Amino acid sequence: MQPSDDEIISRLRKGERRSFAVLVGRYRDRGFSLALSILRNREDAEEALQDAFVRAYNGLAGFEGASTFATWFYRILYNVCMTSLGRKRKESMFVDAERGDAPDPAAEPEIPGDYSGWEIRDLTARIRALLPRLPEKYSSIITMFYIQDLTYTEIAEVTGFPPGTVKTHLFRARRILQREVSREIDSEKIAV
Amino acid sequence: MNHPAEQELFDYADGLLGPSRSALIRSHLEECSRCRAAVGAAVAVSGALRRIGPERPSPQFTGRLLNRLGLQEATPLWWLFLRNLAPLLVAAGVAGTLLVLGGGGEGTQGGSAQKSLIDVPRIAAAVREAVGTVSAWTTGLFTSHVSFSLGRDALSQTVYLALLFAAIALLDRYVLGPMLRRRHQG
Repeated sequence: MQPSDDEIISRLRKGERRSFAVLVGRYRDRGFSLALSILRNREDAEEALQDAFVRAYNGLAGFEGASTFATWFYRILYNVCMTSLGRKRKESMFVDAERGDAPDPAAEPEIPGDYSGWEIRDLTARIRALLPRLPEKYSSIITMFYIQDLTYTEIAEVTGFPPGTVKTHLFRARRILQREVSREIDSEKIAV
Repeated sequence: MNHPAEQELFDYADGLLGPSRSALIRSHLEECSRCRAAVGAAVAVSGALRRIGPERPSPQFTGRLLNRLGLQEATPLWWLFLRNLAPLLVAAGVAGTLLVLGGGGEGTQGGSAQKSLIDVPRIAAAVREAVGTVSAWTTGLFTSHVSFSLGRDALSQTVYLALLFAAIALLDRYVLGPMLRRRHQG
């Protein structure tokens, strides 16, 4: 049975430094996905992830256990990525979607067409391709919610956004993805 | 019931609503095809997002990180040495075996009609000749400073081969290899 994060941290505090490798193995891939969703470049993402692990390792003494190790580590990683992003920030193709802080409740919701014909694999591939084109604040939240399995509250802790904003960002991100997929499929149907 | 907000339909699709609100929406969906379609789409998108799975960094990532943190198991020097020289030592061993077998067989093969698939004495003779030539050549290089001569028996020739291969391997690892890497980086 795998030791829990708390058990590993207590081993680390007892001087079993190599136990940190277990945490690295546990958070490496999901952490990389988060870094990649913000930085959009594998080399930059690896570098940010390395820095985050080093900071976490050196700062373990300051980890008081108020949040889970996962949330604490992702917050470090998120901050490293945001710092690294700096001026590299690029305009996304979905700039329009960023305007306004909350969805207009009066707006007529876009009711999608028939989704029953969507092939599951096809849909996953389309969404995978669309994710890097979302603004990073949306793609990072999508990654945290669907890949890291964090809750709204945990994402709020990691990003520093209020939980309501996290919810709004997540909703907008999903709506953008849905709309883009729908648009792609409709245009293909017309072409055929 | 009025149409629920689109955000709420997404939350419903992700199972994030409380039981009472979920029940209300469920009963609305039974009557409203428009919201049913919206939930269907939300479920499809959420399902696809969950199937994407995490990306992986390069295979060297963990090693580099643990090295940076000083947590990488140190490889003993003797093991590094052995690992680098192993193929050459094996080659020297094979050549030595041939020499021993070939040497041992001298004088006993004359009248034998038995033919083996591999003509060991002949290969051994060729190896001996090659080693002798290289030995003579290297000895010639050092004659002004060092005087050494290797016996012509199989054991000393095997030792000679092993030393020669080890010297080549060390030269490659510590001199030629780094030079080539620097050249590529430059």
